[in-house]
Amino acid sequence: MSKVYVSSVVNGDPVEFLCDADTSLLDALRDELGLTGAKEGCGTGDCGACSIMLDGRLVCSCLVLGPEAEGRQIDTIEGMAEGSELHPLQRQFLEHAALQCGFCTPGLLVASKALLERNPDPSETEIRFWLAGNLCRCTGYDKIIRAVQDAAAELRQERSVA
Amino acid sequence: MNDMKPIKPDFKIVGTRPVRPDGVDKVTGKAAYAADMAMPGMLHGRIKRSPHAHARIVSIDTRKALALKGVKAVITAEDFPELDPSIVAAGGEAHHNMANYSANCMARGKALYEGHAVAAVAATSPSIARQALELIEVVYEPMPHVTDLLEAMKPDAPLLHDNMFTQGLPETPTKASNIAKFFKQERGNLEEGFASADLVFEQRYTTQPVHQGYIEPHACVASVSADGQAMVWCSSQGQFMVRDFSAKIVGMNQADLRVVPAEIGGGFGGKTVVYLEPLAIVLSRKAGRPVKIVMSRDEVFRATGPTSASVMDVKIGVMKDGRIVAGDVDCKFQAGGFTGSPVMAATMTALASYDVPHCRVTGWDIVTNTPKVAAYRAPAAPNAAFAVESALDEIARELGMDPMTLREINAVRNGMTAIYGAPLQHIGLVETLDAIKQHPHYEAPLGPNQGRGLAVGFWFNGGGESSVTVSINPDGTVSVATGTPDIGGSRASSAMMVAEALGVPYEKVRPIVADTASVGFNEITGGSRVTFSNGLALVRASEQLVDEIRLRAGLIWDVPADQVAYADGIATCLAPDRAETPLLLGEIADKAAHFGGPLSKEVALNADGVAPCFGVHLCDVEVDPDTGNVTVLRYTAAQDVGRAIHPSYVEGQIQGGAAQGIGWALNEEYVFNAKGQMENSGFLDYRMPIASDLPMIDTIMVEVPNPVHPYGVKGVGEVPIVPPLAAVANAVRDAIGKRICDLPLSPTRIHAAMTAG
Amino acid sequence: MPVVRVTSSFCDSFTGGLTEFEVAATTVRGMMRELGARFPGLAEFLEARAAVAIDGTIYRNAWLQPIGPDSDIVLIPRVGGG
Repeated sequence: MSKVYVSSVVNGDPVEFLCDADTSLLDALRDELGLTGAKEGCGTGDCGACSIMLDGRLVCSCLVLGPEAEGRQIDTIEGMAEGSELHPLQRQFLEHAALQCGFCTPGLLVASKALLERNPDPSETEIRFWLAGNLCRCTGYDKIIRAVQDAAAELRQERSVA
Repeated sequence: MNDMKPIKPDFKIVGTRPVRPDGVDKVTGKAAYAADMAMPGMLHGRIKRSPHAHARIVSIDTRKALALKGVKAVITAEDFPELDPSIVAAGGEAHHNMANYSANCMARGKALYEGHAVAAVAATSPSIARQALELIEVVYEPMPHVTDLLEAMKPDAPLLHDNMFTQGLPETPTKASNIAKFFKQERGNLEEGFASADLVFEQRYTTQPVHQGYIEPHACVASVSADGQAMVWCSSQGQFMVRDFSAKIVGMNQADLRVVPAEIGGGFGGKTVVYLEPLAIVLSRKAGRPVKIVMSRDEVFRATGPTSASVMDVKIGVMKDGRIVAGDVDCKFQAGGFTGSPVMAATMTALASYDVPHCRVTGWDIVTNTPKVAAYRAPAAPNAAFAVESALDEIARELGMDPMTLREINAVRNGMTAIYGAPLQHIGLVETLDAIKQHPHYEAPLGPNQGRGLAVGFWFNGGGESSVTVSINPDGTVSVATGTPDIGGSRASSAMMVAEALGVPYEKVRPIVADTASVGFNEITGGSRVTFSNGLALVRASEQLVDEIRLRAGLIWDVPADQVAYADGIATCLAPDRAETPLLLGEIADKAAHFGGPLSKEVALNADGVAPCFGVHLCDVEVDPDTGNVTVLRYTAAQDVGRAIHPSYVEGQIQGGAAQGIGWALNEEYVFNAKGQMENSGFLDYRMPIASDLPMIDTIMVEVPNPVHPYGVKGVGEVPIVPPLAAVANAVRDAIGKRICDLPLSPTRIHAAMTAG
Repeated sequence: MPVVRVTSSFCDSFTGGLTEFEVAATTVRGMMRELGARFPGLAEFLEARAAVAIDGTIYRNAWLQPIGPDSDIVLIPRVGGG
């Protein structure tokens, strides 16, 4: 089987890679580009550990084919911090101890960021339903929800100051 | 709940909530889990699994697979040594028989459940490995199967092992059966007890198999060199367990196998044994190249975990005033394809929360054509508590007594003897019950279709072998090596305990989880043992270092060590008539070479003196009368935590355990079809709690310290999964006015109960 | 002489269901050897499978732990956790 040439933009940088036509974007990111932050928990779009942004839309990268990334913008957990400056969501996850094993954390952070970009002041219920596609088996979600709430408040504060 | 103040003012660091040392890597995607590992020349391994629940393996022809270009090795059970049944796991884990684990990793002669591994390949790409699996020709002779544990106990049931004669009975039977073992705990005179009772309540309760549900599938990379030395990178609850099991299963020296712990994406007991590592080692040995194997979620469900299905018959006798006078509990637990259900722990925990003068708890370990069960958080205790706590709820109703009062009357107190024979010390059940009573949730009003449930849970906690190294670096910072995977914040608690003991800031202590060649033997991360056992070792090492620091400062000043005080990272000279400038820890460490060498202490110990803990959970639900769907409205969990080193991670353990228990109560179960095949091996159909299923889970940490540990630690990780099954079931009973004794409390089951006459 | 108790059935197949034993031993290992002398195979079984509670403190592998003439000693099955 001949490989497909794909060129796209990942976390703002142009990238090129070759993959089989049936390779998932998750495997392409992990195996071809070395971006192992997105995780495979199920491979069927049920756990959200592989969440990434594709042209500004939250997707499970295990359900997207690598060749579909051609010409598109991809944002992953690796691009969330600016240099060594953590995103408020990342900081709040740490402050709240919103992770235990940390395996679902990249997906939850990407999904939470997508939420706050479209709804800067979500209710607890809105957060819970938005994150319903991201399984966490360690925390019972309590501290994750609180971390997202506090990060949202922080981002609103930043915005009103700016 | 999230205030950042220390709980106990007499500690400087213990009880505070610093950011975990490994945190930044975990929020930036840098943390390396097993599947993130890759090596030059690495091959991809895949496993062929039995489609039959029970079948004799007549033959396996691997020739076509081996002939496929890119295939570098194919293995079957013939590539593993046959092990003597006397070979057991290290570290006091004698219940793990390695011959069974070898046969579970790779079926020998017979496939005992659907998904049982029968062969494996290593190839240059995952797709070639996939194709190669199709080319392996396995001839099976399918046999009648049995997945239900009660069916498996019948005399005419299909027999899994024709050499299985029930162990633990006064007389070993001469006829083989699927009943592997029998256990019994007993005290007092049962007949007398029931005869004296005003009320005798009897009921049967059942649970289905549930999976631990860690989000990270099992994964490993093995690399074996031509001289037989090997390295394994993997996700597990114990790198030393992986070394011990794998070396025994593949037949190699432990010193030749170095196991490097990757970050672990959840375990909950399910990663306390091996599945992939022996296969990857043998494939790599054959192929001469590194081999990586990653399970799919489907494989995780079909071939790892789960915990036991169980059937429990409860009979409890009480007096009108609520005193329990007799208890008789019979527990039947499913072990899967090989013996080893946790039913013994069920017999020890079922009545452990109460003072029952006359009691008997019996347990049966039953093999079935289902995956070999693995430990799951307080193994067996949630099942047993579901039965007993549901029964107590009904008894309270029959007595017209508040369920809290019934438990307060019977709760075990210090000095009482547990059913397993040992006197109870330093326990905090009464205090924990009281904490729930004082919480606003306890009096919160309930609306229509709503109900409230209360339940209690017990767990032993664990000690055992730990080895740690604490080193003071030349600049006064501290490096800490432990040998237990950090599954939920143990690096943070390790660093905190060392910082407290050495009187240095938390940020100056950096902990690592070392590989098997870099620190002494450690038992697994499991049994709620790590903060207790590692903590004892870390504090002891730190105390030895403090003695050494005082000695070194004394040498610098030419005074004896007893003339040196050390606190908060500063040594002060106490000698009269001496006006020495106090020395900072870094100044002493920097001169270490001149006064005896590096400041480093290794402590290896076997921690004893563990104290058990109790959880009391309160749950409110609302049941939709049209659909039977349950919404959890409020959830409050109180727990005797000994002492919380890092309260946020203790709360996290309590919340996570409660959430798993809620899933077990409401949704989760393995569904097998008539062929004995699992029908719901994905997260869509195996329904674990999602964020929108749950409310905030309020936690109350009750601190009744264990004096054996310098900071009072008991262990916290397991008990929170014990009460929720019954807490939810009791709440549903309260809401709908009917008792459902079989888990899960799915909408269909509840709706059927509500609409039945 | 210290008395060793067992409320669990886990050594029944060696002891025939007896639940109390007087021993002269002064350590856990001595106690196990002594019981093994009375009940063939029990010493090896206890070494692999038993924890021992001495006056309320549970010891899992501590064979060298001393036991005194008035010690309350209970044999307990060893339990693995998750």
